[in-house]
Amino acid sequence: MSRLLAVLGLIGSTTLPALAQDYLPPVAEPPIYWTTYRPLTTWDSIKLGAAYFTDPALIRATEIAYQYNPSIFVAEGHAHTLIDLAKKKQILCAIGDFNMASKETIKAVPCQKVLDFPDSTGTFSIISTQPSLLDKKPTTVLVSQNVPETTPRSELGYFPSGAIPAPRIR
Amino acid sequence: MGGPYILAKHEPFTCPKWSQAGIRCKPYAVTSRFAHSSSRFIFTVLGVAIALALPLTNFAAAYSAVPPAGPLALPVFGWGVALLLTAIGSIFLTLQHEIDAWGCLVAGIGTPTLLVTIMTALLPHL
Repeated sequence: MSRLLAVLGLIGSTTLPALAQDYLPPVAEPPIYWTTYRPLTTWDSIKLGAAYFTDPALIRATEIAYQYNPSIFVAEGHAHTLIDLAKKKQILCAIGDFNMASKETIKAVPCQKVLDFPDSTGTFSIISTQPSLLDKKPTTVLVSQNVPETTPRSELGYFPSGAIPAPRIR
Repeated sequence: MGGPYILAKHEPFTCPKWSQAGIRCKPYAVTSRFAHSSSRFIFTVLGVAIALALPLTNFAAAYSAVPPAGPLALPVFGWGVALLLTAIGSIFLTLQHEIDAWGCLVAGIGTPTLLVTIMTALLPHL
């Protein structure tokens, strides 16, 4: 009996991955990760400060980012610079409630879409992990938490069909 | 009326126990012959070190992964100062209230652990 199980296990270990490669849809290369952001509150800051001493795994899964108003950059002719920064994965262009009046999270969109409509205040924004971008101060501090890096982007909400996906900032 | 703890005139008084009510007693650190024993201090510091070993290890791991910056720098500094003050306060409280070396060890562990427990209790709501 044990020999039979061993044989079955050997068959399973060799054939199942091959079957999966044949029938599962291809994975996008390179992998693209998405995350969602929300405004960082004072209470969040206190709790994250405590997490530094009690839960380092939570700190590793947390990302602090800064939100900028895209219309300021476009007005000063920095549109192409922003595109270059996005290609270098240094900024992320996003759609969401710019004033954070609601509890909506912010989701990534292609930067060209943001720069085409820079005056849509309250809709589009630019997100960076740097506290200063092209000598501009951020309007809001954001936090992203508990989003596993392997989550498919289709499960994380809005994304326009056919658009070029932007990578997650790390 | 009265009791065994009524002071006689001009008679020096020291409390035999801490549980007496209505009488101001001197702490063990002043009255006890064990007050200046090095074993109490060593066990107290050992207890505090045991209590703070895990949070300090966590801090080292978190700091090496993501150094606190921007809006997190101040809260992290604040919690660090709180832990430091708790450690110092625990040493004073323990030496003041515990006469036995093993009691010093337990009290030294317990007081900083309370603060760490509060910090941990905050996390589920993050």
